[in-house]
Amino acid sequence: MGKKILLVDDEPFQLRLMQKVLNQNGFEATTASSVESALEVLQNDIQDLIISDIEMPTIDGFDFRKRLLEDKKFKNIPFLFHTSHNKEMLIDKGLALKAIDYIDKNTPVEQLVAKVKNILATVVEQNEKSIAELKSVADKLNLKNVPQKKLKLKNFEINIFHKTYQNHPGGDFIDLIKIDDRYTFVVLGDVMGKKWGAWFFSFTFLSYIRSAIRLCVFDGNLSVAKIMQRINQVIHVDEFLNDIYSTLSLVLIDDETGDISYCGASDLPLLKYNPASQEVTQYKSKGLLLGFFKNGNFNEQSIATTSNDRVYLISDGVIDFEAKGVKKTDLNLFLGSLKMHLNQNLSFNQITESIFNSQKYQVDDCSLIQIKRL
Amino acid sequence: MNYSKEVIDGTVYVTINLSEASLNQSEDFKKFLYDIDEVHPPKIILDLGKIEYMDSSFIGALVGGLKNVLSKGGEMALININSDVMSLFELTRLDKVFKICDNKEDALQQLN
Repeated sequence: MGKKILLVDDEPFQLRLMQKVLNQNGFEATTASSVESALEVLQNDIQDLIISDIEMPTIDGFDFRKRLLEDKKFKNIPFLFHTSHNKEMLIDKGLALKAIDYIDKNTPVEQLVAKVKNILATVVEQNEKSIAELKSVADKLNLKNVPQKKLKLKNFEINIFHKTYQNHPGGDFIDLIKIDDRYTFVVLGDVMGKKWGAWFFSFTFLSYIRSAIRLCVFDGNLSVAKIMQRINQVIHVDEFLNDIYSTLSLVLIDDETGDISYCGASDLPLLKYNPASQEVTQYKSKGLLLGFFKNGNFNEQSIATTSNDRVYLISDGVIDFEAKGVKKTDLNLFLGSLKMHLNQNLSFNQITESIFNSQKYQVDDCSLIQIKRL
Repeated sequence: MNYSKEVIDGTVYVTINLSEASLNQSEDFKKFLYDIDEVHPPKIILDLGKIEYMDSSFIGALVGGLKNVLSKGGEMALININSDVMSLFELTRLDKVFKICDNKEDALQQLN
């Protein structure tokens, strides 16, 4: 998908010409013949760059820019003025309004396209640099919400697939907590939201979950439903998380008996693949969104496993996707695809590489945990 | 406007004019919901009929709005939920968190 450019001009010929040229060069240009309609476009579809005329009836380009600067959603969208009035004063006024540049309408289209390409490349470069700096700080602070290593038990192997959304960390968080040689907890949560905001809160949730599990185990409590309720109680009263919600799948592996117990809070079903029947079974939990109610109605399911059985925990990004510009959520589509790959006896890496390839246009960060009985 | 509201029979009826409800609108929407003060305690019907896709950020805003309404002793109902969105609500038990009605008339009866 090309970068999105919004063209704002009251001259229809100018608009059509620029749209054609930019689209021919791989951009996705949208047009607006007034500031009012430009603002409507932006409400529904954030753009990568705005190119606006200055002299327009009702609201001119300078006022348009002022309005954008007052709105935190729009103020950081790169902005170019495009006009035939290239007097010094106009240039000064435009640049004082933090417009990136000012282009004369008589500039040849090749130069305009080159300028647009340069600006967008610089923006991408700056974003990547900022993200790399933030990631480097997070790494130094040892802030990780996904384990870096896979875990092998006597009778189980745990594999983790986690893919960020547009290279930003997100709200999915995963933890593997080995209590002793017999018991290991597997945690998959998803803070509602995207990117940095959700990522930030995932650490608070993870801290509570780790503490609740450890404290319950110290008290001799290994019931995942009771542990979940304990986590729920703490989050319910925490004012810091008053407006932040998370789903959670909690699994306890008994490496001696081969049994798995599962409890969920507003999560997607746990999936179990049986190689003998070649079928995928869904285990739906009853638990409600973590912390919303004092009592989250959590239930516990015990799942017996035999050799080569596989159990999957999934976050919502796994079943969200975009096809032909339309976003969809479809669990059954994922189930069908997973079953097809498993029936071909493929490895976890082969399965994830095939399902989450570049053809599947991601709309959120996504996580898939496989617990395989050896 | 992405959202519009009117008072019908002592209830605030909100229409969401979005086909994709996601991160870009979630903060604005939450503020819109929090600012509703036409009826005390708040009674709100949210018409989701135009929404074809909803991401977790927007669901978070809906849940936040519900919690705010409940904390003021009010009520909130969702109507006209598209089948894909409803499947997601059922899968994640959000249908047990929200009051969900088929249409405006049902919701008005439930809230009054």
